Amino acid sequence: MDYHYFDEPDYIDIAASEDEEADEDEPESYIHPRVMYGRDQNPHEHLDQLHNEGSRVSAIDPVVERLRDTFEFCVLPSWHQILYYLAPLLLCCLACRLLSTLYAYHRFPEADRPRVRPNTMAVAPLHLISALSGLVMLYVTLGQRLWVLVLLSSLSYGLLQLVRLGSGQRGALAIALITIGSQFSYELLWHQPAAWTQLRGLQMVANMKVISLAFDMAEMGAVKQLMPSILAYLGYIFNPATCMLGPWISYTAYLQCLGTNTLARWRSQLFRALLHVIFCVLALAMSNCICPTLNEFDSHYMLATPNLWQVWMTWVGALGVRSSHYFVSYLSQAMLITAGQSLEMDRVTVPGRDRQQVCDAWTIEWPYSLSVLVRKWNIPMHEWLKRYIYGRMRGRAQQHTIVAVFCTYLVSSLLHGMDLRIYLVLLSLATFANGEVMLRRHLATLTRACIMANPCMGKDRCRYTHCPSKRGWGHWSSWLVMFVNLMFRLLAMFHLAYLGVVLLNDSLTDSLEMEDGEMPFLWHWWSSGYLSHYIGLGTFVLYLFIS
Amino acid sequence: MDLSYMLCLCLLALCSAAESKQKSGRGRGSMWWGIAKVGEPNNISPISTGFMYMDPAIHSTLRRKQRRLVRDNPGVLGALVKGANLAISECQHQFRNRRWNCSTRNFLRGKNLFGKIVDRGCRETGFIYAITSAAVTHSIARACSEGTIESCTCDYSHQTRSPQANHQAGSVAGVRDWEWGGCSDNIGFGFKFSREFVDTGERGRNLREKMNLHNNEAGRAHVQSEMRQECKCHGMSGSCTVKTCWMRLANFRVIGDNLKARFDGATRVQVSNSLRQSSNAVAVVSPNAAGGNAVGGGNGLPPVVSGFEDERMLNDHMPELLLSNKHHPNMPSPNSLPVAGARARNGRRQGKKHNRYHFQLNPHNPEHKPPGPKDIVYLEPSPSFCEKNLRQGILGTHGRQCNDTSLGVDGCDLMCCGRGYRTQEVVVVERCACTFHWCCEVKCKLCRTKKIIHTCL
Repeated sequence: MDYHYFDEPDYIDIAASEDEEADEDEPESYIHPRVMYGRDQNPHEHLDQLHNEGSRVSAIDPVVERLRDTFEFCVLPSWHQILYYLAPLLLCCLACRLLSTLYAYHRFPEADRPRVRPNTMAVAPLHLISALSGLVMLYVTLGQRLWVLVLLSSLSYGLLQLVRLGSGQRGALAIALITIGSQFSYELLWHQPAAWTQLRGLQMVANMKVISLAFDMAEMGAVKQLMPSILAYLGYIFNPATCMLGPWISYTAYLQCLGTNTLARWRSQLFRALLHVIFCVLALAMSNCICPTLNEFDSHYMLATPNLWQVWMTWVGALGVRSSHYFVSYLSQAMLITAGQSLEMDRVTVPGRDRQQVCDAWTIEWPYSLSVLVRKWNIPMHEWLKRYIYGRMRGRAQQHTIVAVFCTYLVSSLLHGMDLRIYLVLLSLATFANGEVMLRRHLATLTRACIMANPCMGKDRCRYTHCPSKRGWGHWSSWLVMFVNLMFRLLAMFHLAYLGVVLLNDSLTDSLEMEDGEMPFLWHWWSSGYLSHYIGLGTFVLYLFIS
Repeated sequence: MDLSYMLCLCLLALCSAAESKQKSGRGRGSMWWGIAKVGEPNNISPISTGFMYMDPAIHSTLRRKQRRLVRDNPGVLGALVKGANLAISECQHQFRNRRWNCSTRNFLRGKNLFGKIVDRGCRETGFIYAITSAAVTHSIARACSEGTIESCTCDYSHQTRSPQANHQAGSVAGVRDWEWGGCSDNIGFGFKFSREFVDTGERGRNLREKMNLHNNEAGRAHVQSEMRQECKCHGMSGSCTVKTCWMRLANFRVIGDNLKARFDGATRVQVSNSLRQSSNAVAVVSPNAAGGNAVGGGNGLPPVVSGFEDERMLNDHMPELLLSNKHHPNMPSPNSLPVAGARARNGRRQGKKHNRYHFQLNPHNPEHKPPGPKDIVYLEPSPSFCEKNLRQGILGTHGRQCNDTSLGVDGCDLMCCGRGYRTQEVVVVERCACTFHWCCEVKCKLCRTKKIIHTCL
């Protein structure tokens, strides 16, 4: 059926059969779409016309129309949907807080808060409230898939009993291995990619909680006292503030906030929660709509050179991934604030410090170095890795910090489940960050300048000669140090954009089947010629060469 | 009984013969295209938005029912004008390299926008019908979700309907689907309105009107099938805890490309035997038989039925204003219908309106496949478009530019129909070295380049 139209045999030529006959139509009244420049037409005339139009052609219309379209068809529907997600999450957190405050107010009128014995009957209703509100929230968003999560959590509780039998540390280690291993086997056996992608994040948070619980118990030694009852365990795992989108909180932090919430300063808390919700909604619009739209503007509006344009495109693409992370982080912060749950980052509470900070968006967008960035990406997760993986590995292999660091990254990537992309990104990140740290440390000792991977803290604590804070801005070396640090900043931003853009394709699938996209996920890296990897390895080689 | 039936048939045959003679074969639903030129200064006085539908130019362009639709759905006129212009520019883009380049003419009262090509039943005519109906569907749906049409709102029907993919993926019983919805392009309203508006003059009573109806439906089907869903996941480290989705209509260029592909593979049709026997085939195909036809080409189906499965869904969301138009007297005139036909109509009063979409078209060459719902059909071979023939509305290819290296239709051999071509060097002034300035302006230089241009003799 796809024969060509002009080869058709039944072609007839009307002109041959009929004479031309002047009709009442003037041929001039037809408009040819194509403008032709004939010999008889003066090209200068056209030049004049174009000059009159002006050489400044306004591009407002296509750009603005595109942005308006984006707002109309993407931002508004996204917000409309996300409100249906946000409402039950925040309401459950609020309900949990109000109920437990009410109970604690009646049960413990005095100041003796129930923080000593988490397993007593008096505290049990508080655990129950926490677990129930968390489960209701999960049911609203997950539906029947909730039961998979409940099943896995109860299995973990059974495993936790092993610590009681096993001897301390070894039992905890076994739990860590089994938990992470079992996550893999669920993913392999229960072959439903669509469902598992939804549950993976939740299961990851639950696993982190179980592992930290096991290690804490083993460390304290007194397993029998610390062993949470089933209610306390469920309250901890299904704590409404953290079970949905993370972050990880320690068991002690959970117990500390249990029933100690008061409704004092509720206005400022409400304000903060609202602010976070607004941030998270903006980040959603950024991630869903604005970044893809910016990415669609083709190189017609080229800034300077194609290479720079490509870097810009990569950065914008990765910005979509980053703002998706900000969306999740700000949402979880809003939930933490609503539920009155603090993260207890430090044993000593610093006054005025944000106790619910999950990620530091500004540090990520304008990073001092890659290692600082990694620490601020997800602060509770970093805390967990530092406390339970890095700290332990460091204790074992004292000489080889680098082994401990790589092991930490490895465990972190294993925790994320079976996702080759994340493995590659995290291991690359480990290499780049480590190379940068070592190179900068070495350079700092060589030049006695403050160009370490960690920013120099103030005048007194800077132990180098060339410190901008020490020498003042009058000295030339301050400007040089500043310049070197700026270069490293830009390099870190470039690395981050390069690494982040790989994760972009995953979330932009049209349907739930993830595997139907045939485009290789390393396409972005391939198209930029693995530039960042060469630079990262170059840093390492340079370090080895210098030292 | 038999006698009266035969009598009716004879009467009908007479009627249709008379009609086709007097109307020179053209369907009557094509005058509204002139709406594209509404608002252009050479036609009418400057428009005041509020009273646009009172405009004399519109009055002469639109049929009575179309005028009422425009009046009852405020804001729709702008979308229609936009849609008609979209169709013209897309048609001219698709046919820029062909002998017939979709030229339009200044709109004069009582003439057709695309010229006399519409009087013929060739491929090009079919394409014009398909692309105009598609453009109206597209722009109405767009305008709907933009909120410029007051009588339609965002289509919230998607929220309750679960996406198909979930049913296949979720083998766990009762797994709750992803929630999605939001203000998608309101394709339902666009589809329905396009049927009401574009198909007004086409009753489907003779072959030409059937061809028009089929091509109009094909254009709409292309728009509908190009609707796509976009989603994005959020969650801890790339997991999909929160998922947001929205519907998008494809760029109209995609639809134009698809229709052009169908144009290249269009099917020549003729009246099937069954249709000839009962000339007015309103009641030939029962709605049940027409129901289960998928939109996706429908190639493997032996009976040639261009029914659309979406009809049921679309009916559910038909706005009140449109529904009220359903029983308007501006329908097939009762005089021409025989008694038997009237009885049949009474039997299925509800489906009466949409029965005109249920008809058979058989391919001219019985070895070819019957046309599917997305195919473009035509009745007669196209003229060569080589020589100027104003009676036929053909401009000819004299003076057209051609490409001397191309072997395709835009190549000089085919374009100039073997008459030969003239080569000349001209100075072309173009914008070049455009740079983007924040925000939002593009500055260009003017470059003079010498170009070699070939023009048909």
